[in-house]
Amino acid sequence: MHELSLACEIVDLACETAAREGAAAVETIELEVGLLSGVMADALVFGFEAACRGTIAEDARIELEPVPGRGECRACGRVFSLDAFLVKCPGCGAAGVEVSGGDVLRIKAITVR
Amino acid sequence: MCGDCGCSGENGSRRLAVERDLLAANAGAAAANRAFFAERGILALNLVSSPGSGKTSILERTIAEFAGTVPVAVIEGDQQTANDAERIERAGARAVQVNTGSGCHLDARMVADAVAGLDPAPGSVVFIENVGNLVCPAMFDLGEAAKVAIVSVTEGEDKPEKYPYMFRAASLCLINKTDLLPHLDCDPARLRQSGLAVNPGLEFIELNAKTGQGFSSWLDWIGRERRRVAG
Repeated sequence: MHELSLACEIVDLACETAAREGAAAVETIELEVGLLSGVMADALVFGFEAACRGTIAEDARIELEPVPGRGECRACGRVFSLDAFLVKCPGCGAAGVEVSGGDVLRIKAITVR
Repeated sequence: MCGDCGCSGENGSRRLAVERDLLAANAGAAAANRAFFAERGILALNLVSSPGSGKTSILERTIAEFAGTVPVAVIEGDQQTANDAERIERAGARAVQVNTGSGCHLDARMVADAVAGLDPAPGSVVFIENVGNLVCPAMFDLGEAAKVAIVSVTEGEDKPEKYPYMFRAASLCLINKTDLLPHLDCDPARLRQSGLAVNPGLEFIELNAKTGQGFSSWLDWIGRERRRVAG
C-alpha cells in the first residue's frame, strides 16, 4: 500500500512542474522504477489513477522504465543484472552475490500541453 | 522534437525534464530528523516487524532495564488505538502515539511531528515502533540510526527470504519468543541463514521478552550504538 503514498508524490511533482511552466495539462509521466525498489508497478499505476483525479494530471499516461539491479558474484567476480535479491551467480552458481542499485524511484520527465 | 523549446511540434506538447526522486520529500524530512538526533546525542532506533512479533513487550522490558540510568522515549505507530502508548507509559517511559489511520507505515514527517511533541532529552534513546508490517516500512527512512527487525520463532525460519526488503534494510535482527522453541519446528540457526542470504551484514540476537533471556546482549548492542552516536 505504500504505492499510494508514492502515487501522491508523482501527482504532486508532475502538477507542480506543469504549473510552474504554465501548462494546462499533463499528458505523460516518465517514471524510472527500480526492480529492487520494493514497488509493484501495477499498484503504483492503480494508485496513480486514484490520486490524479481532479488535478491537471487526470488524463496523464504513465510510462514506466524498469531499472534492474547489479549483481556481482563474490566467488567468480562475474557482473550481471538482477530483478530479485535472492539469486545465484549465472556463471558459477555460487549463492554469495553482492547486490547494488535497482532501487531508483524517479520521475524522469513529463510531457505537458 | 522542436530544437528551440523541446515541444513535440504537434498540438503544442512539450517535454519537461523533472529528474526528481519520489522519496525526496521523505528523504528531506528524514535528514532533518537525523540532524536533530545527532545534535542532541540521541540514539533513534526504528523497530520493524510483522504484527504480533513482540515489539511492545520487548520495549516494556527494555524500559524496565534502563530505569533510572538511560532516558527512553517511544513513538508508537499503529493504524488505530492508543493501547501501545499506554502500555509504554505504564512501563515508565514517555510515549506518543501516532495513528496512521489507513496508512501502512510511518513516514519521516509523522516522526518529526511526534518528536516535536516528545521533546526527548539529550543523550536519550528514542524507539520508533513502526506499524506492524514487513513490507512498506522498509522503504521509508525516518532519520533513525538503525532499523531493528524483530521476528518471533513462531513465524517460520524463512521469513527473511520471504520479506527480503525489510531484512536487507535492517542492521540487527532480534529473534524473539525463544521460550516457545521446544514446541516448534523452528531452528534459529536456519532463520539466521535465511537472514544472511538477503543481508550478509545482518547481526542477530536471540531473546525472550517474557523471561529476559538474551536481554544483556540487546542492552549491550544499544550501549554500543549510543557510544557511536555520542561520538
